[in-house]
Amino acid sequence: MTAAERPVPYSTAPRERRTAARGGMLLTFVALAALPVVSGQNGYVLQVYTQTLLLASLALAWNVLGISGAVSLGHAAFFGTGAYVSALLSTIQDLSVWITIPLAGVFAAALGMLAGLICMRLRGAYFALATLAFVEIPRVITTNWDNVTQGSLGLVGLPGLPVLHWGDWRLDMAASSTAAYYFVFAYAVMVLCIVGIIQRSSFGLAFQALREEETAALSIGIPVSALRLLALSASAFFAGICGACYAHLVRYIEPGLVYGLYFSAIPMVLAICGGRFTILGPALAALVIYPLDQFVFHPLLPAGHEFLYGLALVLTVLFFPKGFWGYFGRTS
Amino acid sequence: MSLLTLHAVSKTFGDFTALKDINFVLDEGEVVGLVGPNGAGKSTLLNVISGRLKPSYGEVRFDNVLINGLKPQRICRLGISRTFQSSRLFAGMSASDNILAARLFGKGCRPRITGQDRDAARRALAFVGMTHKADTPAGDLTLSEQRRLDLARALATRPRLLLLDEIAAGFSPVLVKQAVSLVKKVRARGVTILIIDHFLNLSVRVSDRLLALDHGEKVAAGPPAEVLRNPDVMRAYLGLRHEGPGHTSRGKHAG
Amino acid sequence: MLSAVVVSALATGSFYTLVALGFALIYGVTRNFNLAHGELLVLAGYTAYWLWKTWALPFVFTFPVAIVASMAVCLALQRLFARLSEPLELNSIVFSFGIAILIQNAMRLCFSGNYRLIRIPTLNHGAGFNALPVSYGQLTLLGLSLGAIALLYLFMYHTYPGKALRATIQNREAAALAGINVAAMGILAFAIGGFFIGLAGPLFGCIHYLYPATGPEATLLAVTLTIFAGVGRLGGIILAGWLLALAESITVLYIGSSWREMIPAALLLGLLALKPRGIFSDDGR
Repeated sequence: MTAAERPVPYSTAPRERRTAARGGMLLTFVALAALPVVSGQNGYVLQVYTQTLLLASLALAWNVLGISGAVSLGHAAFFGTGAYVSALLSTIQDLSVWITIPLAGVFAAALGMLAGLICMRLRGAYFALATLAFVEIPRVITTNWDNVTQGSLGLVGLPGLPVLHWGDWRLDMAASSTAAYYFVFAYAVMVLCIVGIIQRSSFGLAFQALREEETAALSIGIPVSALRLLALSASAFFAGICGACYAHLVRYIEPGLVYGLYFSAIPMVLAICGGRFTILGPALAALVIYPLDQFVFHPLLPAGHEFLYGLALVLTVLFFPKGFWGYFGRTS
Repeated sequence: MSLLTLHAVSKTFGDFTALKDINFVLDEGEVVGLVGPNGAGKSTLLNVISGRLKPSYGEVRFDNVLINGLKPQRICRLGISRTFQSSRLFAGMSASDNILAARLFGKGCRPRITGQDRDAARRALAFVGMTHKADTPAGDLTLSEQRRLDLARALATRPRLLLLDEIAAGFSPVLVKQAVSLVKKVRARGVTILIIDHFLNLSVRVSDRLLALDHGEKVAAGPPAEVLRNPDVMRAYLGLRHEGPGHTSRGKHAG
Repeated sequence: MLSAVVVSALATGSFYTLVALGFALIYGVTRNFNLAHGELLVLAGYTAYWLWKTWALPFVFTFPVAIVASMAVCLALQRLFARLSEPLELNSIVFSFGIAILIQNAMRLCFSGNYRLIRIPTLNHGAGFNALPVSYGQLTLLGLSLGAIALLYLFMYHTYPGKALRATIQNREAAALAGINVAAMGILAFAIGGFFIGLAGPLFGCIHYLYPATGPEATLLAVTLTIFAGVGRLGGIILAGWLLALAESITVLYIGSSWREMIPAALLLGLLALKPRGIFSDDGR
């Protein structure tokens, strides 16, 4: 058989299309990097894009789990826990924000592990319902533990983002919104890179395998339960750091907000609209939808502008089940 | 040398007995056909060996290690691999990715995908004659291609014992011939094989021995010609029940 | 004291039952989880509030309007739910979550974020049993929930469409093979679900405060009771409702009222963790 000897290309995606996608990515990256310079002194634009990148990171974090096939409706549990852990450690324990932000991730990951152990045997819809209920637990505990957390009043006057030292050079990210923007930008890029590395490793194959055919995945030696737990705690880790960044960015948190429906819904909506089985999709959806919301719909409809997220989700499920990037772009 | 030992293996679901006191020894390098009519317990036995089901009673030993109750992924790592009767391929993944996943996890996790792994996946596809389908999503393959890919995926975990579940069911004579030669090629690699074969179209041509089950019990074991002449086996397949009083009550559990 | 707790738990539990019935029925028949359930309920509540406040319609007469409106909305939604692809249960969750966000924001736009309450003073008056501290409102709830269950029971067991509905709940494929129009049963389920939502909505407005973001609370209740009772076991829902309300009362009494909110969530998590895929699954084979 000579056909058997012939080398076969590893990917069928047309070269031009891949080049176009890479070019687009590079262009987006450059545009985002240049944004503070281009937008000049417009603080509002910068603020919106800082939030955009934070939500992009959150959507990417959500999708660390989402890519394994699970849908979480309760990521606010990890976001809120991250926000509270970092806020409390930096105010009460007076720890540096450099330390409390990663610690927030660790606490959130532990909570994710707990959620994973509770929901170990649940799949699909039932896992989603369990996450819907799970978010109530840290929220009620935080609200009721009021001698530490101030309860539903929330915490105000939190320390801002950290100060970066490099010899004599000093960057105060709490004072400069440009610096804060780059801080969040760096985090988003970092999460994206980590997700990309995971997806291109054998774990990416394993996640796809276990979401498509769990029985077969087990039979070829994939440790399905362990990978699920790992995905959930990693996802919670990154979401927790997002929460911590949010706390120090906005410098005010309350349980109803950081554990609220908004931070559960946003990452899910963005990831599903962008394409939950893709690497880039969730981040792209954030870049499109959140600015659209803030610059177009918020001025038009100050009261109900968030309907956009519902509309985007409904249209995606009905017409593009694979999400935008899953439909038009390349899947993972 | 014995590779797989079944000792008094039983499996019950509620008050239904799917397997009853199965004793059997599979030697290294052998090809054994597991035959029997519908509901005989063939699939249950396969699921017990591969770890999807836990035996209710008895011992399953692989290479002298007790494996009953182990999780499927552990059993895979010890060296038992299987195919599936109805397609359980990773439908959205390319044929070569299906194999790659099995290669990378079959003997423990390896995070990095190397060029060697990709070459091995390509060779595995060539082994089953599917080089040209490397990038086709598994869900788009034909039935015979899916079965071959399933076999290649199972082999990619580098098993010592391969369990084939109805790999030639519904095949035309030409395809059965291909399957026969494929199984012989696998055997030539030194892999021990247990074939589940309801229609007897594959196992009689490649097996050293047959193990016949009926209603969860072993009714015969031995060389194919001998087993096929066994009156109990004929009765099980043909549904003849006029022989003796011991057989009259059996029919009601079928299905 | 104890009798007061039990009476109030029974009344609250009955209210929970009314909240959950529509959700349970729609899920049982169509396997669609409608997470917009709470929002639909609040919308029905707002409808009643608006009629009662601006048109000064007596509270009782707001029910027919709310019921008709809910049924219409549910039937419209059914057209969309019917277009979902497999896996139906998960896709319906994601889809209806989007619908929930849409309705919630529409309500924020139309009714603002203020807290509203349909104030019916007579409902709080004692019903005049000296030994038993029961208010008219509590009696109404008990009566309504028992009446609704009885009505549903009569329908399901003594009419042809009801029997077909039950067959569909038990086994869709078998029902379809037996000549039952499963798609029509889906429409019927959404219609009846809409009826119960329209019944519960105005009550929600007079027991609980109405505000746009309160829907998920009702949804969580409905999910919990549905999983608790098991699919299709509509009679079990009222029992589940009472037990949940009792558990909440006990929590309020011994631990503190601020922990009450955690009870439905903890109960749902516990049920799911111990009985994966719901309490109704048989994890054999």
